[in-house]
Amino acid sequence: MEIDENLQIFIAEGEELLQDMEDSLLVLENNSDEETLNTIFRAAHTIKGSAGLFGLDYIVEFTHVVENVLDDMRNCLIPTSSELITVLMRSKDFIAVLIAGIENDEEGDKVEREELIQLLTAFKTGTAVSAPTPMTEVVADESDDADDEDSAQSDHYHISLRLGVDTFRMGFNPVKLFAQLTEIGEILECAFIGDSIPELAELDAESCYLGWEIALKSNAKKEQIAEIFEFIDGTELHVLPPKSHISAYRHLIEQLPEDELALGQLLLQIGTLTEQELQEILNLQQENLKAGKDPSTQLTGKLLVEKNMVQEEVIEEALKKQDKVRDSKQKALNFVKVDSSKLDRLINLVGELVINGAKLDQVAGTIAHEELNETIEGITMALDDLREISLGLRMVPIGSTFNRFHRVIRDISSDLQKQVKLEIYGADTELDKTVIEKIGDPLMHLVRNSLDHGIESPAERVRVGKPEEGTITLQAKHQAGYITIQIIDDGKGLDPDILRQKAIEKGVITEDQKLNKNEIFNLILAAGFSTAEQVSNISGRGVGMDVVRRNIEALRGNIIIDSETGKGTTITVQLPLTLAIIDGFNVGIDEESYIFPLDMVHECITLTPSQIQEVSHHSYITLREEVLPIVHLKEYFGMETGDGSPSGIGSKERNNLIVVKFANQKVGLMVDELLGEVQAVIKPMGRVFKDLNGFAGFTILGSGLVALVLDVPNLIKQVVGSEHQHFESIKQKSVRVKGNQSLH
Amino acid sequence: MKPIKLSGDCSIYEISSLHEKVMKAWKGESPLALDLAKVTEMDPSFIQLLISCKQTAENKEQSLELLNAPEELTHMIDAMFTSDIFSAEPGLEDPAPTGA
Repeated sequence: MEIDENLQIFIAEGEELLQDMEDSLLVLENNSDEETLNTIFRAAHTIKGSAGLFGLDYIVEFTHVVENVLDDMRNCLIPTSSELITVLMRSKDFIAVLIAGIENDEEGDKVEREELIQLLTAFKTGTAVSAPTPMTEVVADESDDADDEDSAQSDHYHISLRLGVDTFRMGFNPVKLFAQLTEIGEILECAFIGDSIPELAELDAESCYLGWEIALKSNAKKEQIAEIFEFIDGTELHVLPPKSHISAYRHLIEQLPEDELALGQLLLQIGTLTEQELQEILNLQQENLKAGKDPSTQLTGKLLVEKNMVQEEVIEEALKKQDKVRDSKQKALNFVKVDSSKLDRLINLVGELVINGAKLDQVAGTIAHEELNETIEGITMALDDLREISLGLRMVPIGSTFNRFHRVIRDISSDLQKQVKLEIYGADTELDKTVIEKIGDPLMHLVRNSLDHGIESPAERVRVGKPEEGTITLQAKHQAGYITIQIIDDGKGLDPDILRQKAIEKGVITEDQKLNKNEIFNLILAAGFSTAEQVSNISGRGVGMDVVRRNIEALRGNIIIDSETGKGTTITVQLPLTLAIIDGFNVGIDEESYIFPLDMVHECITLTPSQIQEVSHHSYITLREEVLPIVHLKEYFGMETGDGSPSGIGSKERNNLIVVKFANQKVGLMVDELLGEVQAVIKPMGRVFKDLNGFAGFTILGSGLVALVLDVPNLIKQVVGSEHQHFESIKQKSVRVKGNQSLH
Repeated sequence: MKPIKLSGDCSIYEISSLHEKVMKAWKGESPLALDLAKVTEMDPSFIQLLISCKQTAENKEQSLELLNAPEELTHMIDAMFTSDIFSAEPGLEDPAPTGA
């Protein structure tokens, strides 16, 4: 099918509406309220209507069935239940499939369609679901909605009336007031309030002490009701709009022209408040403020609710409207929509500028021209800012990625018959757009694993003294150039002994291989490793975790697993804030340059040979009472050390050491030269280098030479892994060396 | 104690004098009995006075008796949605014809 522009808009809007529908269904499950249900209904109704315009009858017919059920829910004919939400979720997914299939003329799986219609019909009360004639039905439906609202039987005004003290003296007869009320409506209920009438001794018989609470069914406007009593001085009158009309008021509030209105004016404009009431409240507000009352208790909205002039829901809606007006004004002023490909081009150009800027700097260094150098310094500073700002443009909050998991957790926990709640922290944490796009799938797998393997069944949880409902927490935060995403569950945790045993059985490790706790936990990231006793459709096939690891490593990220048996597991994913341009530290090894991400350079020190100790060909120093493994990068990269020593360490009078730190682990890396800070535009390595570990990419220096960018987390992991056994023994010996050989 | 006879216009124009009459005639030592046989006119201020009489009597552990209540009184009580207050009052269940 050739897709015209309007149909494309329908497809895009349909996706948004379905997302709203899903979000609201999730809310509805825990908190059944009228407005949420209306949002869901409106989404289905709009999709049906728009599909009708394009002659997509199969979408209209299916959505109509969904809409019928939603309508019955709105009319309290069908109670909200978890089962019903599940069917509605599936129906929403099916509509998504139908919409996605428009382009290829695909009308969805017929079996699934029939199954869903049957399930929906089973929930529907009364008559069987009849498929509509698409176009006419859409129009008829909208008018039905309007009729429904106006003819609802339980709708009435609530009038709270306390007559003024001079009512009788002024010649007003309350009975006649009631007669006037019955002219504009029907008095459904009326309760006399005579509590203010004094005993005979205190009574002023000519004064009026009468009051009533009246339920009036009427189509009249609030103003018309107020007019009946407007000439009776001193009368206290509060007219609350009919309950079902609150939605109409809400609608009116939404429909108001985008203008910044004070709350009172807003309510006056839609007719919820009369001018007299508003004046009364404003006077009261001023008096109270003058009397020194706490201003936070004297907000117009609060006073209106306290005085029963307006219902709380209406105030909330009006406040939302005010916020919306402010937000949209703010957004309209501050935001411009830009195609993300334009941003990518901008970043690339900034990258080129950075490279050429470095080159210019280098050339200028060879010409001792003061003015030129000053100009370059100015350009460099501006370029720094430009780089920071342009990279910032690509940063988006991780919240929307996190929010997807509400549905995932709901569906999977229900499949697994577990009770799990999701807690989200740090949803505002910003991350590069590309990283956000690529992290979704690995996170999905990790969350599924926590649900499947981590959280226990309710019975098991109760047995071990935990609450029936498990918790999965998704948390994001910034940490020195990296973003940390944690998936924390309070499930059964990992058992290192079982993991080790499985790994031996599967040939991932040998029986005599010694691993520390974290290394054992990391085994679950190895290919073909799964400990699930029963393979489920959620996870347990052992093909996922190594893919997760690879995906995260492709983003220059890292996974750390920590767990406590019986208490839960924390999976920490560390990702670089940006993939494009970094502040780097340039070092020289032989004739080559290498770049360390500056955020991970903890410190640089110069060592004399006497400060370096060696145990079984492994070098270390004691730095401020901390044992630090040292690796000579030249040897690590398999280059000639040139001095015949096994490690090449300690052969020079002065040795340059860079201490790098990542995830609380530090390693000292010996290099030939420390060349200083550079801005590095990271370019990906070619496919031929895909198996080369320890490098995140390469960059072009100002000199035009290529420098490799070191992947510090991976490097630390490898170094610490191989050094582990020696490192542990050195730690114990460090007590002996402390004091006379440690560095300060 | 003999019933207090109220007669003629029992509207806002005479309400103060009616109030005074009741206050003078009844000190709260016995049930308050009002004979309404000769009442020709009434308005809500009269109903308000009757409610005050009833509350005062009850506070003095006495009762209010409305004798020979005209039909108009029942209508007025209903029109003011105050029938709950007077439903237990003797004399109101079978209103006597006006002037009886």
